[in-house]
Amino acid sequence: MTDADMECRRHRFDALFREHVAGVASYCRWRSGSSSDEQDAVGEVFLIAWRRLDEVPKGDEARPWLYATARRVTANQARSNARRTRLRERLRAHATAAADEDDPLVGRVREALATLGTRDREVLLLTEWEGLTAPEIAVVVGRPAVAVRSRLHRARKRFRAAFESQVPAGDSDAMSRLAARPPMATAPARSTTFPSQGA
Amino acid sequence: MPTSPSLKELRDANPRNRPDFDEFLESCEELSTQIASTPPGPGGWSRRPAHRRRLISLSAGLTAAVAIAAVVGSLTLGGASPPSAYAAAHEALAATSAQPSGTMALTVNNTTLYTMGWNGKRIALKKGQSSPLVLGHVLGPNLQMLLIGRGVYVQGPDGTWTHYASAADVGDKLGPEVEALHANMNGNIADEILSVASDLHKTPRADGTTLYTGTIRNAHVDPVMNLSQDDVTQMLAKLRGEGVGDPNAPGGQYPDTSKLTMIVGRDGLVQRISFTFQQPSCQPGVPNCPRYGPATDPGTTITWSVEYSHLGENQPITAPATSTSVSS
Repeated sequence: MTDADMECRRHRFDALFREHVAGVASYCRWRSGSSSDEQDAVGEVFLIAWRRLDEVPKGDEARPWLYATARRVTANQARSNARRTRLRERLRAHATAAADEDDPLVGRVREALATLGTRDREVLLLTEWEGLTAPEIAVVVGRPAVAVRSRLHRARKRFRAAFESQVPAGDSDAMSRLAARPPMATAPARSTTFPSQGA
Repeated sequence: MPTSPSLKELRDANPRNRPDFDEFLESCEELSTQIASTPPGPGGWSRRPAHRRRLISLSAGLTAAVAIAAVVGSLTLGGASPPSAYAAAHEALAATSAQPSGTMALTVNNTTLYTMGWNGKRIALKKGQSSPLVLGHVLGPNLQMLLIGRGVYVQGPDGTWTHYASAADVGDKLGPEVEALHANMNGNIADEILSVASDLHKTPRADGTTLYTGTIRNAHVDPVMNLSQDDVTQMLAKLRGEGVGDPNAPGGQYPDTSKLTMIVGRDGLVQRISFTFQQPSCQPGVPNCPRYGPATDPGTTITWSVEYSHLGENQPITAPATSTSVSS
């Protein structure tokens, strides 16, 4: 490989990294159980992308490729960390409980998500948090797009039912108050706001 | 359509909205430089798809069925049906899909849009007739497409064959179709088919076949769902005047219920799966109103069917004797 080829490769990788690091980081964050794991996972995903750069699709197709890779990385992490899982779960439960005190609605979301099956939850979050389309999720999870759409539709219904079932009795206005809350920024579907390296 | 409070809360709970996310991103920034300073080379994952047990052997047709059902119906599983009807229907679908070879035909109101044969991992997709209910065709102007090994053979409108070394060489139109066919080889979507039907009933018939009937309750298709990527859903989207993405479009809602019908033969294999629904009415001039052919007539009954034949008959799918190779 000539210096020019290497420079070209680095340039492409840099662009890939900047465009997708926020998405991959977000995905690894909710797939992994600890802060050290999530950073390791991000590094692993992009290391694979770097080493297999010729196989990374160009354009919009790069995103599901990276997510699919991240999915495998985090799954492997989970397996290799099995011995630590119990402790990690305890720590995570503690951390989440602390966060919930700040915003009980997050806890309600978490509890509703916990009622979903693993696959339903994954498809739902890839859509709602990561902004992936059904065909992109199909690439990530290795299922036909129509099956993903089906599952997504079902997951939304189940999530909604679980969430609404948690509205406190006698608080009939709770749902309308929730709806009236000002919107927060949601994940962009295609772009990130990651600062440039020189910034 | 306003976002439901539950989904709004879910989106607000996105980890990216947490105050420490930017900090986490900054901590990742140095990874780029570190990684790019390592030598490129083999490592990490093979891109070879994970091998999965082949529960459903082939299924653009089944995918079609699911897509149709997903579009026209709710995804409510259950109803008051006896569990045995679901179990038996599932068993029949699983047995059918486990067949190593066979043919399936996708029809709309008795017009066969295409037939697809499979034998092992070889697939032959053949163009059928055109229907005024459907615009375009998955094959475009081409007549046939064969997937053999990693290669793709396409028979053009003039009858000549072109050979492409891989799906990547086929082009933007057919490439996704090839990928979809390959992907469908591995999926297990019997559950998905059954999941759209409620009130499933099983009725033995005098000729030894078994009739399964169910209802697919009317529901708005979720406007967030992206229905443009799949060929059949794309057809349906066109049929509906692209109304699926617009909650205000009358085409975005079907009246009452749609029906699912499945016939299982004496041999326990599925002969046909159908979805029947009525074209909704809409006011002239309304954007996205369905407007193609008979579909513009309110109340038109539309039936999509997937019919199976030659199951397990080991029909050969062979490359054409002559073809022109195209390399990228």
